[in-house]
Amino acid sequence: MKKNIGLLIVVLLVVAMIGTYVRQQIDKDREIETASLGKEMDERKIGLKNGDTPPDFTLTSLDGEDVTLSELRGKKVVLNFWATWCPPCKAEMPHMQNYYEQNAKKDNVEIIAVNLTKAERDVTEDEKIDSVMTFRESFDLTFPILLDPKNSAGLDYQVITIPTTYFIDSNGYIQRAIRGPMNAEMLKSYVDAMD
Amino acid sequence: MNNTEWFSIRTLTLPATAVALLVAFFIVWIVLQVQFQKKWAGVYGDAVFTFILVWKFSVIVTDFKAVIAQPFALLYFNGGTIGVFLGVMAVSLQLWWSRQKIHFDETGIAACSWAIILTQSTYQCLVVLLNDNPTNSEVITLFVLSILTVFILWKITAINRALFLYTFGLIIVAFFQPLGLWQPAIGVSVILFIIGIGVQRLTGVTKSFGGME
Repeated sequence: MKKNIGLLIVVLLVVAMIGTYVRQQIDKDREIETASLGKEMDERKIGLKNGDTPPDFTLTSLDGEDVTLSELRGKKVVLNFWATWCPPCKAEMPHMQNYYEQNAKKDNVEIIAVNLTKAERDVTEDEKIDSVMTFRESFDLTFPILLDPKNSAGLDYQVITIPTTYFIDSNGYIQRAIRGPMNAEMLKSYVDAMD
Repeated sequence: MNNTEWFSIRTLTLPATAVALLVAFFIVWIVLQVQFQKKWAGVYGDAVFTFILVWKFSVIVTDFKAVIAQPFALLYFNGGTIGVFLGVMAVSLQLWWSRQKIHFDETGIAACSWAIILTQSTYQCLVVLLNDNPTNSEVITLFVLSILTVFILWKITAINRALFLYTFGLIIVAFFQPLGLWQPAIGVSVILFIIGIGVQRLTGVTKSFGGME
């Protein structure tokens, strides 16, 4: 008696996979059909889901410049939320800096790192800003770091765990939100995956 | 294939390719369990375990400075593409060192070629299902690889021919994929082919019987 249950499982697997794929394609076609009926003409809504327009904000950078998110349209934006005391943020900062130096211009990307200044563990405003300054120097960061002293952007973006990073495409729509630290390789692949 | 999707479990974000690989490992482990003696699924499990450990911790090698500066980088990151290759190397060394203990026989050789072929095919097909790539590359990958796999596992008993045919098929398929020939999956495939041939040479067995007894 031939024992060939394994092969049988493999064949069933193949059938299941091809079946799933065909169904995916049919669903995709339907989506395109309904989209072409005029739905896509609607204004996209403001929100945090993929495809939404992210809430706009204007915050002041460490260097004293005002930066408005919506004015960056035309560039891909990596919007990172962080704090100086957060270990995974420290782990990803050198990677973000590396990526920024090597690819930002080439890939038409701006990295905006919003410091959750209200959540910094110093007592006075000035001390908080000092901590952020020291942090920036110790990691030699060159991308803009914005301060969020009232946690307004932090609330708008519902940042619960840090780091949280939103990837916004050049049309100004959210493509993805990542919770947890990224390395340069991951960062590059997320950026490459959006328009 | 390009990775276009990511899966988040709390603060851990995994690319779809990593998820596909983990699921493929599990599926292949089950198939080996059913098709061959339990021992071979065990050998496969050990190899997978070594691969994952080396891949994860090879960040020490690929980004030594960061790990020294921030030891917790070890927790958050992995060795990336280089880590994948180091993992495969570690697996082949492990197989070589424990060759006497494992003692590859006819069934072992068959299990080895099943493991090599099935892991790659399952991985490739899952990557297609989980990501969004150009349709023609997806269709070619899915259909060619699944038909090739079933055909080889069913009909081809000479291991070296089976592995050669498979690797050759995969290279042809890669031509139609967005990343082309220069992707890690192809490099890994060639190394696995060499490992398979090596294991076969080790025992001198030339024919497998697909685990049929």
